[in-house]
Amino acid sequence: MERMLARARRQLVVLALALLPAAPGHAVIPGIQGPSFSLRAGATYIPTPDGDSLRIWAFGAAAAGTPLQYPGPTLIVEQGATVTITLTNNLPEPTSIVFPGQGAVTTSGGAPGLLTAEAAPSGGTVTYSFVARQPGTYLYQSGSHPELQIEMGLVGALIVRPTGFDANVPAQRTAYGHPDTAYDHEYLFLLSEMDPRIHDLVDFGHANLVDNPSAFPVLWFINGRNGIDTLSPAGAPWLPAQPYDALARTRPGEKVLLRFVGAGRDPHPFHPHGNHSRLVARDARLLGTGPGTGADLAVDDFTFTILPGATYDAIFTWTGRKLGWDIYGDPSDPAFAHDCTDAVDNQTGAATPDDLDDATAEYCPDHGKPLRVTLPGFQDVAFGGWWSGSAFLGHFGNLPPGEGGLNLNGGLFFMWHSHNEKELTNNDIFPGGMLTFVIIEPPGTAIP
Amino acid sequence: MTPSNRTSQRQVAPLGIAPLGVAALVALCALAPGAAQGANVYLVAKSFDQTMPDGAVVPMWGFAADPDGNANGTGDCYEDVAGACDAVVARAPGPPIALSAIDPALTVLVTNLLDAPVSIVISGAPLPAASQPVWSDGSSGPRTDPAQRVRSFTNETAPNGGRGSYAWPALPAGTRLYQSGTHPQVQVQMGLYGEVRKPFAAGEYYDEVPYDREVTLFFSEIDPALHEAVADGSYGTPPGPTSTLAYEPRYFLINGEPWSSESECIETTPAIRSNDDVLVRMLNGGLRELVPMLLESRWLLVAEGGYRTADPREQWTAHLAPGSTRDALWRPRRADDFRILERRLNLTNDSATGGGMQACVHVESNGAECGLGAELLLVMPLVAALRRRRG
Repeated sequence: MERMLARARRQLVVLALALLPAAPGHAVIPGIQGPSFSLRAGATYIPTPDGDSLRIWAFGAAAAGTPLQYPGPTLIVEQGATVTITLTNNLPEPTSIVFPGQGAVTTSGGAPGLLTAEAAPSGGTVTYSFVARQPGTYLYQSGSHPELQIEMGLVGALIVRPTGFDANVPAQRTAYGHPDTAYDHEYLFLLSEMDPRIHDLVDFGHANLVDNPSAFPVLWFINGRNGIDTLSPAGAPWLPAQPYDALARTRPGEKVLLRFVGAGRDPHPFHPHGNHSRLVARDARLLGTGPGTGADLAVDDFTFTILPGATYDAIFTWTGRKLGWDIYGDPSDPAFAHDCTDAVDNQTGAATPDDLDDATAEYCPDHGKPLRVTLPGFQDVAFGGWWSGSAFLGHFGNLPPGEGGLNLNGGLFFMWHSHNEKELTNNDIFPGGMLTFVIIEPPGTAIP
Repeated sequence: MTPSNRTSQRQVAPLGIAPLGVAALVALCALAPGAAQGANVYLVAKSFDQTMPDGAVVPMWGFAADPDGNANGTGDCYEDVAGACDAVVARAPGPPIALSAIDPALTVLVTNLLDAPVSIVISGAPLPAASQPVWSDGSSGPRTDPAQRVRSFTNETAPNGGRGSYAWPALPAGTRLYQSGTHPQVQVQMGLYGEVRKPFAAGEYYDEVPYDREVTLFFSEIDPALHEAVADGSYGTPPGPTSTLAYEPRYFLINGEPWSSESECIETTPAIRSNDDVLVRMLNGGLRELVPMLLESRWLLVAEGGYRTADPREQWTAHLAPGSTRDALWRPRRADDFRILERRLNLTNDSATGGGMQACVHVESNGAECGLGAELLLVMPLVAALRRRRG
């Protein structure tokens, strides 16, 4: 019975392969569109996987019925727009927002603070305005009592779309207006950490006892969630104040734009498994020699140390190139039948072969090469929910009862995580922390 | 007592105007108050107390400039230690060593009034000429016993009035730290550090990095418990601390001062004007990674550790590793007080908010303000020039 099921799944996948190209979707970062925003700051709680319920301070859209959220709403605007943000402060102390990388921010209302104008506690308001001159990945953060308010959660991402951006037109779907930053999917990785002792002191009304120099974070977050809440769907109802997920999905050969934001206080060596990524921008500037040159100073790397307050953009692509075996299985087996046809360069569309199948991005020099590993028997291994039972993309193998089930399309899972290994815990409990995955889905899989 | 650290965030920029001739550069160096002069620099290592904004008094070690800056005759520290140096006040960081482009050689002559041996090394530069490491048993020369561990990277200057000299025959251009090379895990965090700066040529800090104005941001930290233990002699013997493993700084300083409600913006002489190309030297004399963040503007990071980078990046942050330096070119597009804060959030004095590593830099109008649209830095001709040279 199981064997029949597995075969049926294989045939379904083969069918899906045959229907290429399909599934044009390109993941879009959830957020709110500008250029005018009404935000509020207030206090709420988030659950953490160690069983805690942590008092946080957070931004949220000011609209009635909209929860506060960590991180704050991702603000999405167009290049050249005059961005206006009105902040209402429901916290017990003055608060404000600063926008690193934006020049000449003007303010109205509020009271002068050290870094910018502040909204008074218990309902005060202030308005910030600036022109989003340059595209890219930015952050916003509290500019008041920042060592406490950033720790408490008052951070968020700001994305400026380049002039002419159109998510539905591949040539215009870029991060910086240049083809070097074109992408098929984009994901935000906003990295932060918290020391629950500080949050408990604030919760109990003892914010005056917080000792910043001895802050010692033990909870690490991607997009406001600890691992492996990072994999739960965006907007999961059981995480009302943590609406953003961090699960990346892509198909072979596609370009994934990784937008990294350092939002906490510590640097984090973020390590996307599966392939090198190409760093194309830093602090929202293309790594290039000059206007029009594109990212000609981009560098490939497998770990990006994300500094607090800084942003990074990288392009990740997975093809299985030079793995040494056929990622789609033995083509002489009818259940795995497939061709490798390479007439064009998949990235440029030019009529120059690039060693990759034009539809599935299979690395043709490895076509038909067997997987030179004898998979161990069921008795000899433990299984995870993400193991399809097959090493071949888009296929399923036999699994013992109760195993598998989280890998819907026969994809390959790669861990993306902080390589500061202690950050893979939730308050000393492994696994967790700054941990998520990318799923390499078989061609034809629908990705939102 | 305290060297009046509260309200003196004014800096003198001795090399301020780009097109000056070589002779004028040397003369300006000599005019700079508190700046030691190449090629012979006389420093005094001495303890002092520093009062923090919260009133805490922290015992420190630091360097001071020898008052007459020479070894001729008598009358001050290097020639005549006894009594003559009582009025000399050290500070941390010590006086900047500002070399001119025509000074390839540097000799630092040290008078050591501390009760521990000290030495001078410059991070990113070769060890001083004729260096010999000093072992944990106090001997130097070839290592004779595996139990010997390095106590000093180079020859020590004896405590309580010893004199020593350290020579670099060909110091490269750039921004570097000088610091104690003896028992550095203790002595550096006590405050024995300072800035060495040397331009490539008149008006060019590095090759093809011209600048109009300059400002230094020297970051450091203080763990008062460790300082107390060193000062009262309890360091090294249980129950006192026996290492700096438990280092926990509680004061966070820029240019030797933590931010406080009394702090003022840095005003350079001559003043920084909008559209100037400002050389921003950042140094980290502390033991922790730092991330200075510039608000409402951006800088072009042109050098790290005293060496020009091949691909300058335009950022609003900078990674400032312990013992290292970053140089940035910054073109403020408008008159304003520009804010800089340390983004690892070392923003308190002890646990009190509103302090720590914050600064603001005052920029005056040059009379030709750019509109709001041009406030961001784009030194593209410079970037292109630097990058052309990579090939």
